[in-house]
Amino acid sequence: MARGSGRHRGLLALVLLPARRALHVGGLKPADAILLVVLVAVACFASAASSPGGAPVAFVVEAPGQGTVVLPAGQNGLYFFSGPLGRTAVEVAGTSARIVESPCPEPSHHSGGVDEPGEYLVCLPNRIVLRAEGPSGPGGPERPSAGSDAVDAETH
Amino acid sequence: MPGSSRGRGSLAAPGRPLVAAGARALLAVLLVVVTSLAGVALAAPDSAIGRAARGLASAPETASGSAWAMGTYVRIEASGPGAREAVERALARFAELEALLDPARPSSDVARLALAAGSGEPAPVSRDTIALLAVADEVHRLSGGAFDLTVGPLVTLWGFGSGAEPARTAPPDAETVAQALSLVAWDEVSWDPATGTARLGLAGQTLATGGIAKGYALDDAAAILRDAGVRRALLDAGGSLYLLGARDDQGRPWRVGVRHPRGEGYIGVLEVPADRAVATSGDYERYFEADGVRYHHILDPRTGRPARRAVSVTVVGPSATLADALSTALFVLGPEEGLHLLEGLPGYEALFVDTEGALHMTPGLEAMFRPVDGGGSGG
Repeated sequence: MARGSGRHRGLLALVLLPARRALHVGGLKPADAILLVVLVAVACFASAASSPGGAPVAFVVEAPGQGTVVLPAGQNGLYFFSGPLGRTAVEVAGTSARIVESPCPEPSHHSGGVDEPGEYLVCLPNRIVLRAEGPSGPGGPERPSAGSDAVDAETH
Repeated sequence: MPGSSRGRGSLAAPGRPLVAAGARALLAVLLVVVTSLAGVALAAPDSAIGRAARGLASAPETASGSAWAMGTYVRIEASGPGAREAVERALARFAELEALLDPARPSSDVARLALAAGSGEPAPVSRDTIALLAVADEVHRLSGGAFDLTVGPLVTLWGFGSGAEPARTAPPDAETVAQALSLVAWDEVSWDPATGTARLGLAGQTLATGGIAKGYALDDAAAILRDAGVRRALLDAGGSLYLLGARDDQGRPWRVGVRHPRGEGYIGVLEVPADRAVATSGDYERYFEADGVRYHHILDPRTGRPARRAVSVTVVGPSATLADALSTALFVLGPEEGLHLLEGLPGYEALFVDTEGALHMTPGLEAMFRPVDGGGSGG
């Protein structure tokens, strides 16, 4: 994520600095200004979209009796949910979330977190699901990670 | 301004227009740079922008859905025409099959068969139950009895019958194991597709469908998605998978992590081609420990006790039903007998983790396997 943001700023600078200079030194016509705006927009789009993987914008927790709870990414903290076996605690830290406390026996959920849209953890005995979602919601199998080295699913 | 319009793009234009021309030249260079950048991104198969742009052109419908069914969490993600409705129907199919195959539901086929067991009277059952019995029969035969749905009484005895947690904290004594084992008799099961009936010959016999039902449901759900026009989908029923279509438009394989049976993370990643099922049986999913011994839920139908020749077996193949049943059978058989069985079963590949943590795999699986650091040792 940090790498993606850095690229974004770099590209903007690449486009904006010479453009500002050009505006200073030469009288640009409206058509030129429009072209400039288009260039900036394309650069921003390319920069944002070429970031591999993307990051979750929210974490969805499905818990019995509490339905579906949406925790926005960045809303850091501990959140508690109850299931048939007791309490499950979910920690949100920036753009990742994990189950930090649960009555599930190991390793009914692995202790790693979810930090890519589409990833999810299940505490089966307590019937709690923690899922990461991207900007366009749960979507289909074409996750931002498709094409990368990320794992699409886990067999166990 | 005539001069300006005339001078546009001309390096020979004098004075102020020359400066404007310089600015435009800069813009032109920027245009080339940005266009190239976007072009590279569009051409790159890995890039999100490329996928986004291609997606805008074709705008495939994507959908996902989840449900609790068959004692696990089922999630489907699909892409293609009619994906949304197809995902709903596929999940509904899981619920339908659960209603037929869950022994805890009195109205299920499995419960009614158990109720009539030993009476001599066949019970009417669905076509699905008949189909499932036929596959179970095939795997029973292939595995020399290592896969047997009539382990039901043993499963209950060992406390793995219902509920997410084992009902026991200590193993049953040998005598009660022997009693339950006497009911494990596949030869006593019969069915007739023509009349839509089935029969369990011994009073007290019950079927444990946990080793095959999820696979059967995955195959059906995948067929629903495929028939609806879905071109790509990932179906996950508690770690049993069906991967419909290829991972992306370039036809690359799906990447499936195989859970480490004794630690966190994966022992490796499988690069699985299109239209394959992946099923894993492990001794870490449901178990209890007593006096330092792990008693898990995969029971050997021949001994009545937890199988001890492997800790994890993963099977990849075109049918989820067969992959599911085979993973259980191969777990019971262990690597040596299991690999021998697979020699006569083209299209099905397997990865075994033995009790020492060593990995054993078929040549086909070896080609898919990408080890992860610290994920196990070859064997």
